[in-house]
Amino acid sequence: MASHGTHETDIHDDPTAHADNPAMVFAVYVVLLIGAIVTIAISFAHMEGAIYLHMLISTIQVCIVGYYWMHLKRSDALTWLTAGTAFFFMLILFALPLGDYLTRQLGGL
Amino acid sequence: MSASVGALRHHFEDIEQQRGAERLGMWMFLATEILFFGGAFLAYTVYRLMYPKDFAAISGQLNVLIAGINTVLLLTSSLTMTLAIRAAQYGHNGPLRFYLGVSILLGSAFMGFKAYEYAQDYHEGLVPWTSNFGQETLHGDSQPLIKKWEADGVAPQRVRLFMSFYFILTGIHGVHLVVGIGVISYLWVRAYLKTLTPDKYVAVEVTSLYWHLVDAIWLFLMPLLYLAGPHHSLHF
Amino acid sequence: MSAVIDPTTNHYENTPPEAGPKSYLSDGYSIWSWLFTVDHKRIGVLYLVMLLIFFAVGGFLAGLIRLNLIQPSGSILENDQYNRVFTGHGVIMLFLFLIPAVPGVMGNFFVPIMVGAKDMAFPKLNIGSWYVWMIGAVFMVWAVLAGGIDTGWTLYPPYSTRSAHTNVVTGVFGAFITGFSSIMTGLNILVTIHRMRAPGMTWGRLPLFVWAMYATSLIQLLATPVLAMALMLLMVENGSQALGMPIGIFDPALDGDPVLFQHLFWFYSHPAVYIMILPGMGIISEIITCFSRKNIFGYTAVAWSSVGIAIVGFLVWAHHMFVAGISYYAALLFSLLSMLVAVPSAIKVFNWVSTLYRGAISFQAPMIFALGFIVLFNVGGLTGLYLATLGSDIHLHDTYFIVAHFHFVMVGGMVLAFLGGLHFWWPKMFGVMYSDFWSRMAAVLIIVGYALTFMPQFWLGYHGMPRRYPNYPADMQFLNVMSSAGYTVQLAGFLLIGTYLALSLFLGKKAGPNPWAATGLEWAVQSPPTTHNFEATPRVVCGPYEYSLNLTQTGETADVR
Repeated sequence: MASHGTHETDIHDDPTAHADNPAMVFAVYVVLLIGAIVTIAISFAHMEGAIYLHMLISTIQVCIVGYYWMHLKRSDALTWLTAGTAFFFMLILFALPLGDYLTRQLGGL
Repeated sequence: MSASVGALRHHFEDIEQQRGAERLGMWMFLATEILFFGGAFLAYTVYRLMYPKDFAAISGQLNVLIAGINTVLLLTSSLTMTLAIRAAQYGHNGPLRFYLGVSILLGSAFMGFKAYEYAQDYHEGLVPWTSNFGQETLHGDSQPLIKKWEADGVAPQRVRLFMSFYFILTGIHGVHLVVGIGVISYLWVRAYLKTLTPDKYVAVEVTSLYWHLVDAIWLFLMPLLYLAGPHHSLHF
Repeated sequence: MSAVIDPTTNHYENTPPEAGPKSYLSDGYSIWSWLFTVDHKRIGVLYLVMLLIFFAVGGFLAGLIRLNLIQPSGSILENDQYNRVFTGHGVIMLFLFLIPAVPGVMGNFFVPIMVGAKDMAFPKLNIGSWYVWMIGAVFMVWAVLAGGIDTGWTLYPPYSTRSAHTNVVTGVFGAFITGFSSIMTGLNILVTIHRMRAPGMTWGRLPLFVWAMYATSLIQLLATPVLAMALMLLMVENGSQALGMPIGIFDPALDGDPVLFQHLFWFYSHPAVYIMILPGMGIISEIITCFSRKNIFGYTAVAWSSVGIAIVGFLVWAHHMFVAGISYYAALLFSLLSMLVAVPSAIKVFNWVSTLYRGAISFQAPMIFALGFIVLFNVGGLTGLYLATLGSDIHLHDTYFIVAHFHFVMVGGMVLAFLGGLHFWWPKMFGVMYSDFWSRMAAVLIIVGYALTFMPQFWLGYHGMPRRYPNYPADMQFLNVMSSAGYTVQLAGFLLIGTYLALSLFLGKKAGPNPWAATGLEWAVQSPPTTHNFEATPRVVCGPYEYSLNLTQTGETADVR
C-alpha cells in the first residue's frame, strides 16, 4: 500500500504489457475498407431495402472497431457494461418512439 | 520496459488504478456521445420513415464521391491513431509523432473535403436557409431543382428537412472531428517536447478511443445520408 | 470549547477542543484559492453559494405567481408577464437548483469521503463542471430576467420556434450548457465510486447515499445528451426562423412533427425528475438511520431500488404526452410502465418506515425534515399513480393537480431532503453548530407552509383549474388565497434558515468530528475535513449503519465526539 504523500518509482510498471499486435491492427483496417467499398457499391444497384444491408455492414464495422481497435477484447466487464448500457438506452430511444410512430395509423388519443 | 511513474496523481494509490479510471472515464464520455447522436439519428429516422420518396430523391443529389473519399480518410486516421498508442507505449518518439501527425493531416483533409462539399452544396442551391435554395439548375438538368421537384412530386419543405438534417448531422460530426484534431495536436506537441513518456501512454489511448467513436459515427452517418436513394450523377 | 449534542439527552455538552491539522477551509484564504481550487469540498461550497442565490431568485418568481393568483382575474401581472414569470420559475428551479443541488453540493463534498478517497477521480473536471454550470446559468438567468421567456419551461414548438418573441434561444443555449456540467459531475461520481473505494469498502458496505448518487449519475450521464440534441434542433429551427428561411423540424406547417420534440425532450426530462429525487432519497436513508439509532431495514432492497428507479425511469417518459397525439398502443405501454416505476419508490418508503419501527428516535431538525419528506413524498408519489392511469390523466393533465403532484415530490420531497441533508452535514462541512431550537422551528414552519400552499391545489386541479393560467373562476378564490398564504409561511421558514445558518458560521459553537454519533466514514474525520480528507488510507471493516454495534465503518465506537 503506497503511503500518503510519497510515490516511489514503480519499477513494476510495464506500459508495453498490453501493446497491440500490428498485424491485427492492419487486418482490421483492411476489413473496414472492404466494408466501405461494399456498402457504396451496393448503393449503385438500386435495391429495395438496401438500407438494411447498409446498416448491417455499418454495425459489423463498428463492432470490429470496438472489439479490436478500442480494445474491448481485453477490457474488463465494467467497460463492456458501459458500452452495452449506452447501446441499450439508445435502443430504447429508438424503439419506443418508433413504436409510437409506427402504430399511429391504428388510432390515437 | 519499465518506466518511472511520474504520471501518477496524488489522489490515486497506484498507476493501474489511475489508468483504469481514465479509460473508464473516456468510455463513459463516449456513452454520452452515443446518446447525443442517437437523438439526432432518431429524428432523422422518423422523418425518413414518413417521407421516403422525398428523402431518396434529395439524397441522390449529394456527392457520394467525396463521401467515399472521406470514409477512407477517416478509417486510415483511425488506423494511425491505433498505431500511435503502440508507439507511445514503447517510447518510440519518432513513430509516435509520425502517427499522430498523419492522423491530424487525414482529419484535416476530411474537413477540407467537407468544406469543399458544403461550398458545392451552396452553389447547387441545396442549403435550406439560403435564398437560392432550389433555384439552381444542375449540370445535366433542364430546369431549376425546385421545378424538378414539383414535376417529380417531391415536396420542397421535405427536401429542406432532409438537408437540415444533413447539415446538422455532418456539422456536429465535423465539430467533434475538429475537437479531436485539437486534442491530437496537443498530444503531438507533448510528444515533440518529449513530455509524453511511456508511462503516460493512456493519454494517447483515450484520445484514440474518442477518435474511433467519431469514426464509428461517420460509418453510420454516411450510408444513412448519402446512400438513401439513386445517385443523381457522380461529379466532383 | 466545542459543543456537541448528546442524542440521548438532546443537550449540548462541552468537550475540550481537538487540536488538528488545517481544515480545507483554512487551506488558503484568497479568492483565487477558491476560484482555482480542485478540492472537491471547496467545489461543493462554490455550488452551494450559487445554488442558494438561484433558489432565492426562483422563489421570488414563485412569490410573484402566488401574489398574482390572489385575485381571480390576476392581481399584479399582465397575462404576458405571467407567462414569463412561471417559465422563469420553472427554468431556474429545475436547471439551476433541483438538478444540480445535491450532486453539486453533497455529492461533490461527500462521495469521495464516503468511499474513502482523497478526492474525486478527476478533480480538474470537477472545477470545470462548476465553471460550465456558471456559464450556462449566466445565459439562463439573463434570458429570464432581461425580458423573459414565455413558452413554459417545456419550450414546446412550434410556439417556441415560430411565435414566441422572447429570449428562447438564449435560455435554451443556457440550458444546453448546464447540461454539460451535469454530465461532467455524473461521470466524475461514477468513476470515483467504481475505481476509488478504500480497502474493505465493498459495494455492500457503501452508504445508501452513495448508491443513490450512483443511480443519479447514471441518469445524468445517459439522459442529458438527448436533451442536448432536442435543444440543439430547437435552436437550429429558431435560427432558421430568424433568418427568414424557416425549416420545420418540429413545425407541422412545414411537414415537421411537434410530438418528436416532446419525445426527445421528455426522454431526458422524465429521468431528470429522478436526478432530482434520488439523491434526496439517499439523504433520507442517512438521516433516518442516524436519528433512530438503527441499521437500515433492507439495505439490499433500498440500494437496488435506487438503480431500479434509474433504469425504469428511462422507460416512462411519454406519460407526459398522453394527450399530445401519440398512438393508443404507445399510451397503453407507457401507462403500464409508469405504474411499474412506483414500485421501487414504494420499497424505499416501506423500508424507511420499518427502520423507524422500534428505533430510538430523536427529533432534531434533520429528522423533522426527513419525516416530513416521507409523508409528503408519499402523497406526491401516490398522486402520480392517478396521472399514470390513462383515463384519469385525460381529465387531470395540465391542471393544478399536476402542479400539486410535482411540487409535492419536488418541494415536499426534494427540497426537504436537501434542507435535511444541509442540516445534517452542516457541522461536518463548516465545523459549527446552528441553533437547535430555531432549526426545529424552521423545519416545522416549512412543512406547515408547504402543506398550506400545495394541498389545496389538488382540489383545484381536480375541479378543473388549468395550470399556467393567470386567472380562474371566482369560486376558486378561497383555495388560491390559502395557497398563497402558505407561500408566506414557507418564506418565513426559509428566511429563518438563512439567518441562523449564516449566523452559525460566525457565532456557532464549534462542532467536533461526530456531533450526531453517526457511523459513516465522513464522521470519522475532523470537522471540517482536511484538504486530503484522510491522514492515511482508511480500512473499512463493517457496514455503514452498525448502530446496534455502535461501530463506525473504520471500527471505532460511534460516540459523540
